[in-house]
Amino acid sequence: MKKYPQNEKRKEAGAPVEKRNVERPIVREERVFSASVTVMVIAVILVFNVMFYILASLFRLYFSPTKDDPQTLTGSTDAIFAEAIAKKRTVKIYFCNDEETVSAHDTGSLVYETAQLYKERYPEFIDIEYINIITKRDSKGNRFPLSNYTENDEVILKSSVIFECVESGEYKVVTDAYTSAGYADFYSLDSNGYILSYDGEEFFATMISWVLAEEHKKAYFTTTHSEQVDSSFVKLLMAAGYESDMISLRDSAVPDDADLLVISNPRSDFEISIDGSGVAVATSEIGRLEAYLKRGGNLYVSLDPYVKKLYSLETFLEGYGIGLSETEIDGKIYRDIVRDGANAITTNGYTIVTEHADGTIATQISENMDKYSDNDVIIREAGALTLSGTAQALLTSSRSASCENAGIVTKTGGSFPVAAYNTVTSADGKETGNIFVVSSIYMTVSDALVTNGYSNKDFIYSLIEYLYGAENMPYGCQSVLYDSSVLENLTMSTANLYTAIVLAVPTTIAILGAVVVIRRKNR
Amino acid sequence: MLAVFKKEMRSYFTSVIGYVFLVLYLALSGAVLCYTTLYSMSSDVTSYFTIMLLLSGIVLPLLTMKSFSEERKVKTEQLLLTAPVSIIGIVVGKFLAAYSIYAGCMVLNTLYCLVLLNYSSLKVAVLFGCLIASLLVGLVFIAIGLFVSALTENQLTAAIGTIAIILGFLAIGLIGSLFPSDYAIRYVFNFLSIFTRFQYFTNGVIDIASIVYYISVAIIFGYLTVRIYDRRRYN
Repeated sequence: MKKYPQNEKRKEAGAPVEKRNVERPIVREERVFSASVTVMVIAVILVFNVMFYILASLFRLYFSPTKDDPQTLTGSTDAIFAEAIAKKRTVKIYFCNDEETVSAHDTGSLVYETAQLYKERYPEFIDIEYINIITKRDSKGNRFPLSNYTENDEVILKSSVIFECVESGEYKVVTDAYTSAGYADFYSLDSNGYILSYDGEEFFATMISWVLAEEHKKAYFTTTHSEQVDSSFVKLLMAAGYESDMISLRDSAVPDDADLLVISNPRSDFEISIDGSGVAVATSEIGRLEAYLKRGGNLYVSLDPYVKKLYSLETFLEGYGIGLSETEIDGKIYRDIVRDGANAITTNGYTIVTEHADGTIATQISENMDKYSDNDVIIREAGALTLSGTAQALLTSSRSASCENAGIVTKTGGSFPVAAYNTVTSADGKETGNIFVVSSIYMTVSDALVTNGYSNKDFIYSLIEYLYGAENMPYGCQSVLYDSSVLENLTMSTANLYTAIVLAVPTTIAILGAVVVIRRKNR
Repeated sequence: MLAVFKKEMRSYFTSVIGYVFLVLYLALSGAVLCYTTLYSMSSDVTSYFTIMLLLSGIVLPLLTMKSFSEERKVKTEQLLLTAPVSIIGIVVGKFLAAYSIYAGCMVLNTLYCLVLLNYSSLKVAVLFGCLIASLLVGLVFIAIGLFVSALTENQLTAAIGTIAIILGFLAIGLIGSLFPSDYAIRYVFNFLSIFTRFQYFTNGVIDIASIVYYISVAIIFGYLTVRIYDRRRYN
């Protein structure tokens, strides 16, 4: 022990010895040692982490268990091609690039895979060839007559795909089947131009059916009323076997070859001139519509319930028993917009899951759709329809729906028709046509059609088959959805139920906890 | 260690704090899950787990704030330190108790996500990755909470201190993103950032280096807690 001089003097004087903290240096040393060990341990761990980080980057020490699901064919096309296979027809698919390039292309690879799947499924019916459009030779070195496929001024690029029926020589060029800069017919895009889905199975079926068909139906879209035509609807009509074109009824009557006339979301009214007897003049737009229907034409109309009243067109449709419902409140007229909180897929209640109406055609469509899909058809911001005479509903809202506009409830009671049809018999009684009206512009937009959970596409195909008499619809073809995180078939009422269940757990724990703590306190 | 673990678990389920944490955490996580998936019509769970990362940083300190600070406040610290159990055993026992509750809540929330399989193609690999990341981040947050709790006898101070350190760690990634990508210092910040490493897992990538990092940070704070108590035992 260290001697302190003061202590020695105190001892001599007989005074108590002052104790000093003689252990201070030892404790200080221990602390320094302890701190050094701590710093060293932390430093070692840090250095180990840095080295591991570098090694992990160099040797890719991570794994990614995500993988894309491989494409498959649903088999929906077996029925469509059965007749052609029985007749031993063959279809050739020409890719205008070599196989290695096509299979490695970022968007072309899916098209390549689909072609391979079709060839595997129908080996006697489908054949694939790869063409070099520069040398105009196929993969075996044989000369390829490229000029035979540009008779109608088709443009053929390295990213094009040509479909041809060998027996008839009928061909179809898909000019820009896939590129990395733009996307074409094999894909569906949303309104912002982003890819929604890859629709290879359906588009291949469309093209193969197209070249096998002996004739194609014609659909005309009206113009000059700011009509909004969704490209996915045009593509759908093509899959149903229709060639599309535009027509201005101000300039000409509906052509004789028109199998279907489409009035798609007009924003301005149709012209009408009334003669002395109160009948629309034949050269006015409404007059031309009348004439078309009287000769047994088919009409597809989609209306925007938020657009101001199109008097001439709506009066024309009301003449066939279908009109847009309105309610007068305090001297103001409100369109009845259907809202269904329980059966909506959005929180505002305006994107609703519809129900199939009763009625012969509605039941046929519903039963047909049952074979291929879940049967649910969604529709957004639909107006309620009023029906009279022989007009019948095809789709309605559920019984829990109401009608609202600008926050005002205009109607209650549910079961509002949102899609309806009427049959029109020609003047000589020999031809019948059909008018179909849907009171929403969103039934055939890309995100309503491109979905594996809802059946809007199959509904339209069924409509075309049962109402307009077309055949060989590509039902049930699955799309490869790019944004497959969308929840489908979930209504707000189900979401509310799940939320209640999830929140019931902490509620139960709170009650149990309160009981336990109170009992302990009172013990 | 087992005795300490059992004691801590008993104290969580016989006192208010355990139930408050469970109710608050499960209610918040349930509400966030429903809002980000069911009401957004999306089966993408990455936004849910990212929000829960931030919420965990605020709610987890409730669980850890009383671990050591209460012992000091009610003067039971001496009993603990003189008990025939090592400091490491004490720290690990308390850590495991808090972590068991957190992990149980996290696994339950992940099971809720499976309901989305009925309505969409849920990316199970991403869900699994997010769960692993959340459990690893829980290790770090709880270790930080125990460390701060050991420093003070005031529970509120312990909670606030823990939240401050956790938010500091989360902010490291934000600070790093302010630098241009070719600056070396950005790599340093990304290396230290809990949030940046968390994002690898939300993309469905199981990054071994990040797993090592999270465990290392938890070990560092655990070691510091042991050092504090070791020093206190012999003082």
